[in-house]
Amino acid sequence: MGDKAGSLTTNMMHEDLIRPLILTGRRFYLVVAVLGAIVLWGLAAWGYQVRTGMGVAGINSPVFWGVYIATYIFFIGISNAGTLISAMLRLSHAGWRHPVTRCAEAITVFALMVGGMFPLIHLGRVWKFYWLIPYPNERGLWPNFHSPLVWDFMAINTYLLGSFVYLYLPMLPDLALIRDRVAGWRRRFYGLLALGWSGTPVEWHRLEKAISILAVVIIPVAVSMHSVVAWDFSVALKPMWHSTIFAPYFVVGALFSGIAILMVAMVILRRVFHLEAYLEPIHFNNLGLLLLTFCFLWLYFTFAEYLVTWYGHLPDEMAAFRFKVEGPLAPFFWGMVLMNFVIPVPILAMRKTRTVTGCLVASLSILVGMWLERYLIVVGTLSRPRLEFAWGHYAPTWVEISILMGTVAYFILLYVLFSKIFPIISIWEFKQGRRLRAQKPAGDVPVMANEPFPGVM
Amino acid sequence: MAERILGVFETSADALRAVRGLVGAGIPRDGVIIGSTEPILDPEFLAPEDRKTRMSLWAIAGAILGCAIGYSLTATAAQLMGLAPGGQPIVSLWAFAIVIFELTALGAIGGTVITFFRETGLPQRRSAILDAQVARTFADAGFIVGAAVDRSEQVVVVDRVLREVGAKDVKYQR
Amino acid sequence: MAKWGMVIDLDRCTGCEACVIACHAENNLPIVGEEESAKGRQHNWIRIERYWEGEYPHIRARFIPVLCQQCDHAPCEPVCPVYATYHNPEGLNAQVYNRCIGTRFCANNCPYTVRVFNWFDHQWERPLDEQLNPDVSIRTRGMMEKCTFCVQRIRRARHQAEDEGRDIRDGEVQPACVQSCPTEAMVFGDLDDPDSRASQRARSRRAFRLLEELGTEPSVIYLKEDEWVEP
Repeated sequence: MGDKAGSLTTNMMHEDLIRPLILTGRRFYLVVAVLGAIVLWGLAAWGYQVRTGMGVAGINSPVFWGVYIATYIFFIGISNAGTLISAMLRLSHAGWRHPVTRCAEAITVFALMVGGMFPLIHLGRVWKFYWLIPYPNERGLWPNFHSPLVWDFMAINTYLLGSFVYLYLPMLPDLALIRDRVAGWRRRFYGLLALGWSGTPVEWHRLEKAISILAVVIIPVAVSMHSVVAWDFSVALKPMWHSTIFAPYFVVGALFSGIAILMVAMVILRRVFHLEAYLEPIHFNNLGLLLLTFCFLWLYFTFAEYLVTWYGHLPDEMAAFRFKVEGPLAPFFWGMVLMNFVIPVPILAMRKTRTVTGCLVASLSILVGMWLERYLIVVGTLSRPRLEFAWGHYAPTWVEISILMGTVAYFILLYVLFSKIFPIISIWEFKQGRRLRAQKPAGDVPVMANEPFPGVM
Repeated sequence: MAERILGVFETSADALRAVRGLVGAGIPRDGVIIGSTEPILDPEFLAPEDRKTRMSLWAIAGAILGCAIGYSLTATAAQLMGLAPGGQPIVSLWAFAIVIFELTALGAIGGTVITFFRETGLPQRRSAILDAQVARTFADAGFIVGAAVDRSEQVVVVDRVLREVGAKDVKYQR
Repeated sequence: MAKWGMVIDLDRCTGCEACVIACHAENNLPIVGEEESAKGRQHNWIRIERYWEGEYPHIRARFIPVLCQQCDHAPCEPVCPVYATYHNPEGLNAQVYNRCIGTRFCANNCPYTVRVFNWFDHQWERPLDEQLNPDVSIRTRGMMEKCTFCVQRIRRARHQAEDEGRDIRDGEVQPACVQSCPTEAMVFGDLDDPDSRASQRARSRRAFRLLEELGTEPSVIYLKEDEWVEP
C-alpha cells in the first residue's frame, strides 16, 4: 500500500474526512428517516410487550429464552470486534491498522449499547431492572454475585465504559482539528468535545501512553465480556450448555462475527464517503485473511463441541443434539454451516475473489450464520429439557421480530449518526501511519520505530 | 498580558530545530510553546520535568483499589444477605472472581484516565495556545513553535529565530 | 427445625390429577385456557407426567407426579441475580415473588422444568374470584413462581403449635395435593424425624429421587413401581 495514501496531501485529507461532517445530502435524511421509523416500530412493539406481558413473545415453557437472548449474544459478539481488534492491532503495531481503528471501536460502543438492551427487553418486570445494581438501600438487599447475570451486568458496564474511553480519548486530537477548521455552532460544539486539546508535547505523550495502557487493559476485559456471556449458559446444568469450551468458543465466534461486521461497515463507509484512498484493497485483503482463519477456528470449535457430545452419547445430551442436527432445527444448523464455512471459505481463500465485494459477501454470510449459531444454542438446548414430558418447541412472534428489526435499525442508525458527526477515520493516526511509511528511518517517532511491514498482524 | 509569537512549521524536524533555536536564544525552556496536529513523541519536545509520567503507576494503583473494592463489595454483600444459594458457600471466590476482575479493570481504566487528565491539564474550555485565527493555519500546517514574551527586544529575537529555522509563517497573538 | 419432604408412591398413583386441581384451588393458580396451554404455558405447579410403554395390546401407562423437588442444592438458586429464590432453614426452596424481576434463568436451570412463569396478568371470572385463597398472594405478570409445599399451611400449623407450646405433630401439615390424593400415594412430613410416616416410607427399598445423579439433593422421594404381572 502507500501509493494512493502517499499521494494524499494533508489538505486533501482534511477535506475528504471533514467534508462529510459538514455537507449533508438528501440521502442522509432518507436513511435516517427509514431507520428511525423502524426503531419507532420496534419501540412500540416493546411498549406493547411491557404493557401486556412477556406472553406476547413466542417464548414458553420450556423455551424460556428465545430470540432476545440469541440476539443479545450476537450483539455482544460483534461488540467484541472493535475494541479488541483495534487494541490487538495497536499492540502488535500492525502497519495497516490506522484507517481501521476508529470505525472498529465505534462498532464496539454501539453494539454494546444495543446488545445491553436485550437483557432488559427480555426481563419480565423490566421496571425493576435497577435491582441488579449493587447500591445500598434501606431494605438491606443486594444483588447475588453468584449469578452470571450480575457478572453480565458488571462486565457489560466495564467494557462499555472502557470502550467509550478507548474511542473518545484518541478522538480528542481530531475533534480539536475540526474545531480549528470550522466556524459557528460547529466550532463551539467540537470545541466543547475537544476538551481544550491543543496538541502540546505533553498531551501527545500522555495520550500515547494512555492508549497503550488502555489497550492492555481492554483486551482481557473484552475476552471476559464474552466469556461471561458464555457462562450464562455453561454454568447451567443443561444438555449441550454445560460445556467447558463454551467461553473460548464464544470468544472465537465473537471475533469471527466482529471482523465480519467491521468489513461490512468498511465497505459501506468506503462507498458512501468515497474513502477509496483510505480503506484500500490491502485492508480488505488482510482482514479477509484474518476472517478466513476464523472460519477454520470456528469450524474447529464447533466440531469439537458436537463430536464430544455425539461420542459420549448421553441420552439427555443426544436429545438436544438430535433436535439441532436432525430435528426441527436442522435447517438452521446446516444453514449455519453453509453460511459460516461453505460460502465464505472459498471466497476468502482465493486471491481472485478476496476483493472488496467478495469480502462483503462473505461477511454478510457470516453475520447471518453467527446469528443462527446463537439461536441454535439458545433454542436447541431449551427445547429438550431432561424430562421428556416437558419437551417443547418455539417460534418467534411478530413482537420478537419487530424488536429484533428495531434494534438492528437502531444499531445502524447510531453508527450512521456517529459517522456523520465524527470523522470515522482517525485523521491523526492516518497521518502518523503515512508519515511512518514515507520516512522509513522514522527518527522522530521512537515509540513506533519497530513498525513492521504492512500485512502482518 | 504577554505577546505570543508563533511560528508555523510543516515537519517535526523543523519544529525541533525551532525549539533548540529558541532555547539557544535565551528563552526559558518552559516558556517555549509547542503544538502539533500529529503525534510528537520525541522526548526532546518535552520539558525535562514532563518526561516522566506516573500513568502506569496510577493504573496499577487503580487496579489494586478496584480489586479491593471488588472483594469487599462481593464479600460484604453476600455476608449481609447471608444466603448460600444452591449449596454454594456464602462467599464463593470462584463466582466472585469475575466481578472482582471487572472492578479491577475498571480501576485500572479509571486510574489511567484520571492521570491523563491531571497530567495534561485537560479539560479546558478552549485551546490553551491558539486563538481562532492562528488555529486555522496551524491545523493545515501541522506544527507550531513559539514563545510568550513581554519585552519588545525579545519579540525581534524570537521572530528572527523562527524565520531562520524555516518557519512557513510567523503569527502574533495577544 | 423440621426438614420437610414428600414421598410419592408411584405404585399407588392412578394419574387422576386430583392433586393438580387441589393445587389450583389452594394456591390461586390461574386457568390459562386451551390456546395458551397449547403454546406450552400450562399454569401448573404439579403435573402428572404420563409415559406409554410397549406396543398395543401390551401397552401400559406410567404416571409420575412432578412438582418442585425442593432441592437442597437447587440449581435455580445461584443463578438468580436478585436472590429471589433461596433456601430457607426448613429445607424449602422459597420463591420471593416481590423480589423476582423475571429473568427466567432459574426456570432454565431447573432440571425438572417445574417453574412456572406469569406470561400475563391473570383474571378470574366471577364468581371464581370469590374463591381465591386469602392466604396466598396473587402473582402479577413477569414473575416466576412454583410449588411451595403449601408454605401457608406449614406456617399456620407452626403458629398453632407455638400457641399451644408443642411441636408440629406428624401429619398435621398436609399440602393440598397430599390432602386430596384419593389413594394416599403422597405423604408429607418431617424427614429429620425418623418416626414420621414420610421417613418410614422413604426407607423403602423402592425409594429413588428424580435425576439424583445431578447432585441436586431433592426433598421429594419417589417409590418406584414394583413389577406386576398382567393377568
